[in-house]
Amino acid sequence: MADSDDPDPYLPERDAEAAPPQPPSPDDEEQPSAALAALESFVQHLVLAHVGPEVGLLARRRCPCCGLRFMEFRRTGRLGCPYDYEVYQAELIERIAARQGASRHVGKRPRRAWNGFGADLGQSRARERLAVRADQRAAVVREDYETASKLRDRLRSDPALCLTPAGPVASAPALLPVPSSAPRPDAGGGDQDDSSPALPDPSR
Amino acid sequence: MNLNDLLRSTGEWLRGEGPSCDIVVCSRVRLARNLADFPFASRASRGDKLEIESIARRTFEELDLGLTFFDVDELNQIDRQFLVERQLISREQANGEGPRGVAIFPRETISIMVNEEDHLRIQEMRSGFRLSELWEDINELDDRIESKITYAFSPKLGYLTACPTNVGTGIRVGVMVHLPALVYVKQIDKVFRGLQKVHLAVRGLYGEGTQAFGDFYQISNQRTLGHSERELVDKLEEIIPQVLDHERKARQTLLRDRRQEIKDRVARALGALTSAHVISSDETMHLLSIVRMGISLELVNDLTIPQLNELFLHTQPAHLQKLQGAVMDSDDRNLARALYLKRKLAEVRG
Repeated sequence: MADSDDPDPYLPERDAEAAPPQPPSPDDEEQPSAALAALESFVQHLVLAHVGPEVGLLARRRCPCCGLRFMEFRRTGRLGCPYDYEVYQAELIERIAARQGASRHVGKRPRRAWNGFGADLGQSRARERLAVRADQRAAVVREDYETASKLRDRLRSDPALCLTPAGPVASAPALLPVPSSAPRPDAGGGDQDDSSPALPDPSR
Repeated sequence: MNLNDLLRSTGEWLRGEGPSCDIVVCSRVRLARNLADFPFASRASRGDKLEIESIARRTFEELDLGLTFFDVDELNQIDRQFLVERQLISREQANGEGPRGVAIFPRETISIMVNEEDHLRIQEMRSGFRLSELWEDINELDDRIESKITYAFSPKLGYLTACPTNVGTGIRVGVMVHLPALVYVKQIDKVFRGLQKVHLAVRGLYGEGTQAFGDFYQISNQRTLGHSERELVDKLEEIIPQVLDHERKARQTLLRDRRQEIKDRVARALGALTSAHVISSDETMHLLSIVRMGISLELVNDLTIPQLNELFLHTQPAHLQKLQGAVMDSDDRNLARALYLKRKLAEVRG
């Protein structure tokens, strides 16, 4: 997104620690215009002014893999990559638990699975894997096949990165107790309120 | 197999067979799955999508699943709409952009959308009420695909999906039902409220945000996390028969208390279908819905549910144009539809 590179008139100070590394650049056609970037900055400024620094920090956080900001998710209801579930774990789990009445998967588990999306936040290998994959794809696009080949070999040989089947996936405890007030049985498709921002209706 | 081959039949899900097929048009189970190391569709570049499509096609071929792949991006608007009308792709897939496709099993029981909202949307459909059978089949198919593709899966949250409303099992288990009597006796809202209380969603014929044309509805699970796939299937298998029971009771009540009124309504619907000079697809759907109820109540003896299903599918805009072999505007379609109905009904009713 262009707004991280440009001077931002609406955000007076940039928290160096809060500023994440730049994500791999998506296609040119997906780059927002300068006007859109300015609008987004303005909205973030309003968020910061009205709801305080905590939410302001959330508004500025972005996924290091796909570049998604939480506000974009709130607008579209769609996440950008699997790693977003870790980047925005706290925010998502609260909403998922409110919507689904549960915060832990109890169904089918792949017979072979990559344990990259770790049970403990911060121990995930997903971010590195996704970043190296993005670098590899970018190298192919710019026809730098030597780099692409090295990165492909790394993905295959680095035990921390390769998608080698890791056997059955262990179960994990619930992240959050299910809020007793969350599932409103009579609400059906519209069980949302201001404190639990909208997840879209389950889709097709 | 090419798309025109499909025109010769209505597809497995409209065969008008199977348990409770007087009310349950078809059962459907779909799984949302994503590859572990690609961005979701909204953030995937054209290159990502091409690679996902290539991996998916290679996998289907290696597994010898007998699927035919159609590049949706390459299809014209009528062919895309044709696939939507047959429930083989979603409207979102039809109207989307960039590399995307669908792999279809010849009998149309299985379709796998590639690069829709999720990288893979695996769907299985059958005529009648048979969710358990569908779940067992699709589970096995999912196992086979998963032997080649590493899915984005978290021990805590299950299968990771682009929209968190699908996270966990990523499963949507549902039935398409025809509930004309409950609509007629104005009990349908009460039934829907009951379904919402047990976290089942009710949608129109073509999914989220669509209208309930011709008293056809889709009922499916709303929650995907915290319950196993088997539990969700069992829940639908417990609840849906109650809905069917309500519809059957409403039909019997209509037959008992308002027989002449219903007979008149069915006869008028048939009359309009056989004599109209121009007719829209909405009106056709509405009238066919009334006739369908008439068949179920044995008030119409010279038509069968499978024949009606064929009329229902073949009078939709894309099907009509493909059958006529011409691109037509709305006015021309309404003329051609009326002619088709007149001719076809005369043919099947002798």
